[in-house]
Amino acid sequence: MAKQHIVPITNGIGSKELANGNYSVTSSITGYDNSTITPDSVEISEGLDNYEFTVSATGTLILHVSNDGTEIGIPIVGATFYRCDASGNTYGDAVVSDDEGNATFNNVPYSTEGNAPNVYYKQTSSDGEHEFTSELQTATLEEESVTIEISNLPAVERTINLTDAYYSGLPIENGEITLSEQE
Amino acid sequence: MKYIKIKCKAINDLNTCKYHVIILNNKNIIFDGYTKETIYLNVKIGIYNIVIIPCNNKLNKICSSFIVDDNSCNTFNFVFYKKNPITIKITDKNYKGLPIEKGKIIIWQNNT
Repeated sequence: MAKQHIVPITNGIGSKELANGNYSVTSSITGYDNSTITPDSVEISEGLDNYEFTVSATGTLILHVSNDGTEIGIPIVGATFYRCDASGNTYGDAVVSDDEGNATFNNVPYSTEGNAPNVYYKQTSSDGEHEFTSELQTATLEEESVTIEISNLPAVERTINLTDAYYSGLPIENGEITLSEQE
Repeated sequence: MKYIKIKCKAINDLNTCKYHVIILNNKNIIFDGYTKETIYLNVKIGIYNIVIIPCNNKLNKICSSFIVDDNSCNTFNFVFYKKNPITIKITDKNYKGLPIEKGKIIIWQNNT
């Protein structure tokens, strides 16, 4: 009779003492499609202590970016977002808001049973004319597809003073200042 | 009555260790003791349950049963494997490196 070993996973890591041999592998991870665990079998052998698995999900998180955070707001095109872990580290490619202001994360975990896992993301840029927060955000998907409204308010007008470095307060009569956004 | 030997052997651990052996017959403990390899017993014909716990905690525990009858062998071998402390890392297939925050991996040892 096959013996079952359960390895609890926290932040992607679990450990267990196992005898050498061949094992079948399944997973129990809320929000993910557990049939996608890869690999589904493993040979535990002497001297090899680290084993890696992947699993995938089928939910969709749409971030609708507009100038006022509503469904009918003016869409912001070109805003970029990344999936993150709980510490804010980014993973995968950026998703970018399209002509309708939608930035779409595919293959994110969801659960309709009230215990959906956290999905972390953060915005890393807007369209250059709107403000955004780069703070880590959290969502939970209680349905397979969820849309969240994101507000990128118009940038406020700033006053820039340019004076002569050697004559305090003497305004520069004509010229230009160029400000380039830092990466 | 039949004279039997219970042998414990670790096949991938060079260090010898003691084994705590408990043998039951009809829920009655007929043996509860320690050995480094072999226990010699004189037992009745019957079905016995056995629990063997290696004292070094690096080997697997065995819970099993064996039958003693006129046709059975005199020696019952129990083989132990050294357990390896392994680390499992599980990430999101579609977001390279993104750790799975919480869950369980269930591993089943194949009979092969």
